[in-house]
Amino acid sequence: MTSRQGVIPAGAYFVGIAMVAAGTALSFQASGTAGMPVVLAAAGVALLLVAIPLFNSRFLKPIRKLKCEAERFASACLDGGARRGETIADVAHSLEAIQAELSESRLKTKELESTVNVFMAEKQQTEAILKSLPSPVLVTDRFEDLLLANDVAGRLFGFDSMESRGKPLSEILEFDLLVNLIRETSASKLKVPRRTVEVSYKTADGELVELRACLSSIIDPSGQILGVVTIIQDITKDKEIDRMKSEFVANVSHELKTPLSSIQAYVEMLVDGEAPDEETRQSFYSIVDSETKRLSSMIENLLNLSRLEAGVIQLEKDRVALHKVLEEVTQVITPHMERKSQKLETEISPYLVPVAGDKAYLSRVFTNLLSNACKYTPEKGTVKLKARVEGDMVRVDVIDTGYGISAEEKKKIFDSFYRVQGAASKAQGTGLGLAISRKIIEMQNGTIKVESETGKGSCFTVSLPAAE
Amino acid sequence: MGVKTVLIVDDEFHIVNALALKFRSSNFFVVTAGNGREALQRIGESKPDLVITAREQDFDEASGGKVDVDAFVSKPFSPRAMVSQSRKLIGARHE
Repeated sequence: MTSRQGVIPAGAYFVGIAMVAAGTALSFQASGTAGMPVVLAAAGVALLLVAIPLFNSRFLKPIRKLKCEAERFASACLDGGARRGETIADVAHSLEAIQAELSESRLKTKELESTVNVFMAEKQQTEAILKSLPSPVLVTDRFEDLLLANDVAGRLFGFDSMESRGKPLSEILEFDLLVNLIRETSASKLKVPRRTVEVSYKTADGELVELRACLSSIIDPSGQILGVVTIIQDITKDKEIDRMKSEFVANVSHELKTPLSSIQAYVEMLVDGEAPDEETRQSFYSIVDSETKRLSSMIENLLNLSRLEAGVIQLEKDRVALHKVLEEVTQVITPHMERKSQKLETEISPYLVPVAGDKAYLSRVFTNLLSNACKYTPEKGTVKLKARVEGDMVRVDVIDTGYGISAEEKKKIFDSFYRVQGAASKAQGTGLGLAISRKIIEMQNGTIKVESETGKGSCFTVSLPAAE
Repeated sequence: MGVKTVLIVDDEFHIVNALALKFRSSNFFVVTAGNGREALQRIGESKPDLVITAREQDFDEASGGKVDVDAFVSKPFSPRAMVSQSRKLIGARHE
């Protein structure tokens, strides 16, 4: 503000007057969560600009007058006499009047000091509010100099929020797009002086963040733009969630349409009489039947995943004898493995302790893992099931000798609907089994991970906390 | 129009099978492939008049470029409509 006075004093004076007037009446049109406090702070600063000339006229002027009067009288006496008709009584009278004026000035000065103190306290309070805001806030004047900025803004854009005050925004902000937006908003004559813009910004650390900037003009009651308040919101995570949601919906739609396509194709061929004999017709019926079940299973899995993620399904926290769960699961899987002439090797520690969890859902996880191992291991291959205690956790490994998973695919394997490249031609599935398994294990404070090598096989490891 | 060759590419066995049956009964010569890499091999061998695939992304990856697509059919589809549209596309190309 001082530097501005040096350059364009008249402009600074008028800004100050206008801000005080508007601040006092609480009639600034700044918008957004930080708008009003910011304006009040600005008003507090501006008050000082008004206080100085006021102090000059009310307090110093009478003193100067008194000094002048005394000097004039003394000088007149020394020169051989006072003005014609002027007596000491007249001078005394004049001095009394000055004294009265001085007393009144003192009183007004005290009132003024008190008002300044109130405004200074409000300014400090406003700055504290601004500092506590989680969103970066920038306030610029109509000359595009920074009036106020909080520390969050300083951290995001890489400048010192205190030292940068009063400096031109273009000098402290290496983000031409935002500087131009603020400039446009400041010059805007629109009826609604507010705009929200989404921009990408590369931080000093090289991180690309998505920002939503809400820019509002600060307008005085006469309609003059005094500056711009810019409130920034980091929407990087929101954007990522939106992208994931869209991807999920697209995947769901695609995956549900696949069995539906088969059903429609075979039903249409049956209707068109494309199946020439009873055997072909039976095979078509069988495909329609299996694809209908697959579709139904997908929808069921999808609903289960959704219920688990929404917290609708609450898992039990029982003491679960894991060796019993694993025995039951192997009994279910063994017939499937026998059909592919596969061998199941089990190494379950006799010292296995119970885990804390939900028996039914744990059974579902291990059925899914063993079923996958059976599906993706070629005929006559081997599947291993190992379980042992590791510290205060129980570790279960499901190891297959299947096609394996590439390092790139390992990152996505637990995502909904992700299926390993070419998996559909090797085995049927909904692409939701591992997503559901991970959710179940994580809900029971456990972890699930995979180690794999393409062409050699995969090892899925589940770790669960031992029951107390 | 003589017997035309159509290449059907998908990793869903039932879909490939249904389309192959329909195109064969509609007097097409049918070649099938399970993925983009296999399809590129078949294209070289059989020189198909038309490629039907739901996996154009596979082609892009396998060929290292962007594959030109004449028409899109969304799932679920009708094999009957697929044959009819294929005839139109091949016919338009030969005109």
